[in-house]
Amino acid sequence: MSTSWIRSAIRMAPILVVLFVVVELLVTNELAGFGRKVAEADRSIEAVSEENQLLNEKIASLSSLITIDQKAREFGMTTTPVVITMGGEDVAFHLQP
Amino acid sequence: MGRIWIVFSILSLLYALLVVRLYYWQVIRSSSLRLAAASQYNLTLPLPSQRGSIIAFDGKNVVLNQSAYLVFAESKKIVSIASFSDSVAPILEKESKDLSALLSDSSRVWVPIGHKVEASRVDQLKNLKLTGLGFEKEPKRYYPESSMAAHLVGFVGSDENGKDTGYFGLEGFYNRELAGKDGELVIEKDIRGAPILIGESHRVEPEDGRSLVLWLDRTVQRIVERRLSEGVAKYGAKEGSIVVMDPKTGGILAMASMPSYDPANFGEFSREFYKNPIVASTFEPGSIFKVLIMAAGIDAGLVTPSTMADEPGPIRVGEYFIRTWDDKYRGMISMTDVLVHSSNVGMVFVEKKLGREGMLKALHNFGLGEFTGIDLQEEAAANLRKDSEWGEIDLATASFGQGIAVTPIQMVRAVAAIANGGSLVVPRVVKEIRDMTGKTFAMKPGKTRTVLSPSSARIMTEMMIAAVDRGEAKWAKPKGYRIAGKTGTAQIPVSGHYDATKTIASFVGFAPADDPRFIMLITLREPSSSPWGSETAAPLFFTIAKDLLSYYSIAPE
Repeated sequence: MSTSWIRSAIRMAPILVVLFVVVELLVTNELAGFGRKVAEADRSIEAVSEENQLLNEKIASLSSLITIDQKAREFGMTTTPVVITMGGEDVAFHLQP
Repeated sequence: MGRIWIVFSILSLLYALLVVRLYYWQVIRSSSLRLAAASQYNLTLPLPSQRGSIIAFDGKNVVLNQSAYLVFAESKKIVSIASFSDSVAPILEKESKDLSALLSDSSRVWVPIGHKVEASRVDQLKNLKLTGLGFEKEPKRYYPESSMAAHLVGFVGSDENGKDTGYFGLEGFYNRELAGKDGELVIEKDIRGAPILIGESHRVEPEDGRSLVLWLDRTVQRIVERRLSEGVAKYGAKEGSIVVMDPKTGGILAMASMPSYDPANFGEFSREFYKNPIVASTFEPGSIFKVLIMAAGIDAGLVTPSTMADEPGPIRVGEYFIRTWDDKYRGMISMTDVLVHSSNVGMVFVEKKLGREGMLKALHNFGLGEFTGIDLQEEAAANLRKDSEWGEIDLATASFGQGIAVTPIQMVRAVAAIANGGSLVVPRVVKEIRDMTGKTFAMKPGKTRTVLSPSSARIMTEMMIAAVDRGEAKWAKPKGYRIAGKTGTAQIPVSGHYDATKTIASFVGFAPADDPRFIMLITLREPSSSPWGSETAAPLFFTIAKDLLSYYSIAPE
């Protein structure tokens, strides 16, 4: 009984070895693909971060007071040269009891 | 038997020597040997952290990082050093032969060939598709508002190891918070120094720096810088400084000095421009100082606004005569008129009332001679002379702001105590610190001590309003607003005496006086159009005050 079991096990061994090799190849292949995906994800994170930083720079530049001032002037706006403030006594129709 | 003992002793001695030797190598030298071994086996690549941003009160960036790169070459991978150098050098604005010499050094595997290179140039380099050319992120500072608030912000330069370090202003004071912590990548290397791909590697991620959110208001800063530039040109001043502060919290709303520099190109400017004169330079304040001594007299109950002082003519103190600024003498005048007419003789009257102890107490109380605690790197505190060294004439002249030195920030903080009801606040530039996860840490406003009672502060405010409404600069004041202030004209000490032609014109004031939104100190050094504060610094103050009142939508009464 035990001898026949050993014989069949020996006969099965090459099949098992081949099977393990195939499984190993499949797993390795899967891992290699997975690694590539991780690398791709890292690259896209980096690209998006970089783009984000460039956009931040652009926003900061466009919303700076220097740029706004320049744009306003291009649209024909000017700064009021003199602001005159009037106290209560200067108002023409100032009503007081 | 004796020979056996000799052999035993020699063997024991040799054994002991062996133990000592092993102890030396394995305990005493172990760490240095470990380091030596590590440097032999491992290649360490730094992973720089991103420096934090500096953000204005309205959430807009004043300083942020710009995409830039460290360009490096791996000499061993380069096919032809000559053609590599010819292609790369023009883009990096370097000499081809210098670059070629650098890359030909066989002892160097990894050679940095360009620091903080902008993204556009890096794109040009990438398009060359050269083997052995690599890029690492190395951000640099970007200033969207150009040189705005340069003295306040400071700049980022390199330390002795070539590492980015903040100098002056906020960059210097908060360098540790802004810089963050660099990471590193440790990988095993082969005998030639090349990394082993399947070798062990250890990566420590960098921790980015924290960002600073300021009290600074960009609009106020821009108004102040524009008006200061116009004022310096109009009045022919050599230098000028303006600080605008919230008197209740001590938050710095704007701070500007001229001449200034560009923090993006700080190397092109003389080092003398780097220090912020508002915190690092001292001046004799002149008549603006009178409000502090008068406030001390009122708080001590020694004088009231209606207390009369005799101003018959120049007053003798020891061997000196003290005169009024216009050499006019008005006989009996009230304390309010002492401020309105800026009477030096009247201030000596207050000083005599306070006495030596009272005067010294007032000077210490208002924080003179001590650091204000402002969060800027280069703060200096003008030393007061020792209490025992104050002579009669020193105390008399100090009562009207001569013979005593202060920094503008000390002066504005002391006067803020009048504006806010009596508290000596700690001036603050940073409102909160924000980490990379968005978590914020508020920098609570600080109060050093109470220096005046609220009623004394109110009385003093009314006297300062009178000084504006009836003083020499009343013509420039915007109508309908209650503004408290005081002009100052101080002579400049040169080689032990005062130069009659050189003055520092100043004005300190706050508005609206009953619920101040801002306190502002203006100093103009050596104005050539007029030496007087009432004709230079005061109109500049009121011009800026008009802009600020309009900006804050505060209507006239």
